[in-house]
Amino acid sequence: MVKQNRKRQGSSQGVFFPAPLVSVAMLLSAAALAYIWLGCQCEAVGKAIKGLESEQMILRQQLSNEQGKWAEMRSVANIERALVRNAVAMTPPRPGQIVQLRGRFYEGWVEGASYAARVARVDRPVSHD
Amino acid sequence: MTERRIARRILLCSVCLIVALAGLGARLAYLHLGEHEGIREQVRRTRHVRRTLTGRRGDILERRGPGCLMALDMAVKNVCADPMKIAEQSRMVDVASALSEALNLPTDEVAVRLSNTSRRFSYVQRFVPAEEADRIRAMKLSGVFFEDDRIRFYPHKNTLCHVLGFVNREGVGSAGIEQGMERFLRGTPGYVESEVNALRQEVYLQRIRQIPSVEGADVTLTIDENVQFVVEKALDAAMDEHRPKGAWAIVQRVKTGEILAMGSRPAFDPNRFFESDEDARLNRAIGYTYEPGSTFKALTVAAALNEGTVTPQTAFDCEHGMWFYGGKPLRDFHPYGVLTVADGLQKSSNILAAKVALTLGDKRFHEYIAAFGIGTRAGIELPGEEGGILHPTRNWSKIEATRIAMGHSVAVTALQMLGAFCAIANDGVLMKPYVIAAVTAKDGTELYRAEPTAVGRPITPDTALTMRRLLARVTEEGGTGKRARVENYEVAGKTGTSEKLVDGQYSSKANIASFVGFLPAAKPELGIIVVVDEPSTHHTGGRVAAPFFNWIATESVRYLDIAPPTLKLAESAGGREFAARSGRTGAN
Repeated sequence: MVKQNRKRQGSSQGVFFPAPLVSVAMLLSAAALAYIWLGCQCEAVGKAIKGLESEQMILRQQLSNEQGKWAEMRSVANIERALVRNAVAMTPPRPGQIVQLRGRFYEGWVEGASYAARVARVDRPVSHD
Repeated sequence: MTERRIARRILLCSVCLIVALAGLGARLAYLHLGEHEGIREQVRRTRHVRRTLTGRRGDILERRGPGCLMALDMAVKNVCADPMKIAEQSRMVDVASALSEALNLPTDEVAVRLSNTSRRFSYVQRFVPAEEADRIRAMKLSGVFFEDDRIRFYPHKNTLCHVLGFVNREGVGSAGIEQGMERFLRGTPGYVESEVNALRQEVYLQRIRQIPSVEGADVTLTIDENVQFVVEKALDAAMDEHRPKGAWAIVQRVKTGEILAMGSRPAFDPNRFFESDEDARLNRAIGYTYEPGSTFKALTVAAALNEGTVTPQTAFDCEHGMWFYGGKPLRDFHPYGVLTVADGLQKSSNILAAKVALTLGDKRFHEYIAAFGIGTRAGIELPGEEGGILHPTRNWSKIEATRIAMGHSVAVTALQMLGAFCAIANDGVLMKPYVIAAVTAKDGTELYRAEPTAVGRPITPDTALTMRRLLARVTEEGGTGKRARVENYEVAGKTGTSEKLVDGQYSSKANIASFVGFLPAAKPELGIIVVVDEPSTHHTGGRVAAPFFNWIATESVRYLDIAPPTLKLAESAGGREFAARSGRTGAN
């Protein structure tokens, strides 16, 4: 009769762990991992949004600062100073040199019927003509 | 060591560990499950932050709109320091000298700002340009940090300063358009409520609430930058040439009431408003009342012509320069005999104006003056507008009408006087002056669009035409305003020289010289007024103010493309009729 090795027998049998339980455990682990992954993604997106927010703020600040500088540069006084600095003399044309096609100042609502209508409605506060 | 002893030690360690963990667990459960709202609230408070998002203030633009900025918000930095930290590192001297050099401040001044070593925060310098702040940041000074801020910037410096006004250090509009349009310009602040981590950095996922800020609306003016520049240049020249106390001018579009330019001297730089005094900040064009002098005669004559009490040909005895009425003498600058109304206005006779006013009677005269807008605010959108002084007739003395007729005993603003002349130019229709063309939200929604508003019609179109012709004679040969003439254009206007009241008495040395008029006289487009307060070299409106009227008018018609009318006023239908009635040609 062959002598039995009790120890071996015991370990070869292993721990009882049913397959459905393993599946559930694996699913739970996967869900936990997915949750952690999503959390990390959200955090990364959040960081990116924050980065973009601050970048937008900086760009807006830069834009307004550049607009200010540009407005300063193109002011009439500054242009005139630049002309003087560079010895550029500009003389307006003499009246005889001007060919008037249409004065743009005459354009606008005053030529329209609404002006006449509006003026006609005005009551004269003084009665004597 | 025996195996047993080792096992016992492992057991002991395990027991200790289990006890410690159980204790921590119990404490954790106790804190989380127990009634510890106070502690929880303390933690929440420490982690909770609320950050205000400042709403950018709207821009102010000139009439051409986008891109033509007259005022805007600029991002700047506040240079801050942690004096306690700097003191702990014994770097006070190094930091103070580095900052003073970078900020161009005295070292001792910076040292004083860092001297309170018990504090963790102190401003070294506020409103530092971003580039300058970047240079300081590059120095990597320990205990120095930066704070974002905004400042109102006026790129054109003192140009249009009185119209624009300024914003105080709290960001509130305190003068001019900045004050008058505060409700539109001011942005609405938003806020972010969130939680921070141990490094006090915001955790985006814990953001509780975010209300974005709303930027203020942009205000577009009727002001034309180029016409404004011409006006300001002319005023500077007037200040240099005549060394007066002040000078101011307005350019108005006759048919609409739009203000194309408004300047006042002395001026100030709104970027550094805190360095200017109140006198410099006063917009004299709307906030300074003065006795208009002879310019007022135009209104007197217009009223009498409208009532039919006189015609341009009605002759009056001008008493050779001295006339007693109500026991008081009235003098003319030059003595005249008999003058027609037309000539009397051209030569600016006080006695003739007084006699013309008497033909109306006090009540009717008062009605006309009030109908021309004198004595009430014109209603421009700018704060600080004065209404002038026009007493009710019950308070008039016997001689009051004779004095008001020549522009004394009545006080006006330049805006009112120009408005009255523009009414004459505009077929008798008085327009409400306005300086705001539109208000537009940042998303492009138009919140307000100005429309020309007629507020009254003091005289008929016929009277207005007659007055235009009479006023055109003032700038012709023999008139007091010939220096206001513009080549190729017919100018209608009136000079004014009034003595100022000094210690209750009219002073012959302190004058206000003015010229108010419009052009082209046949088809008026622009109304212009120039007022010079206490000129020191010459005193009369024709000598002092008229040349600057000419300057502004010449440049403005050229820039605005206002072509000279093909017909002169005298050649037009109304002009021919006038010439036929008066027995004159238009060329005199």
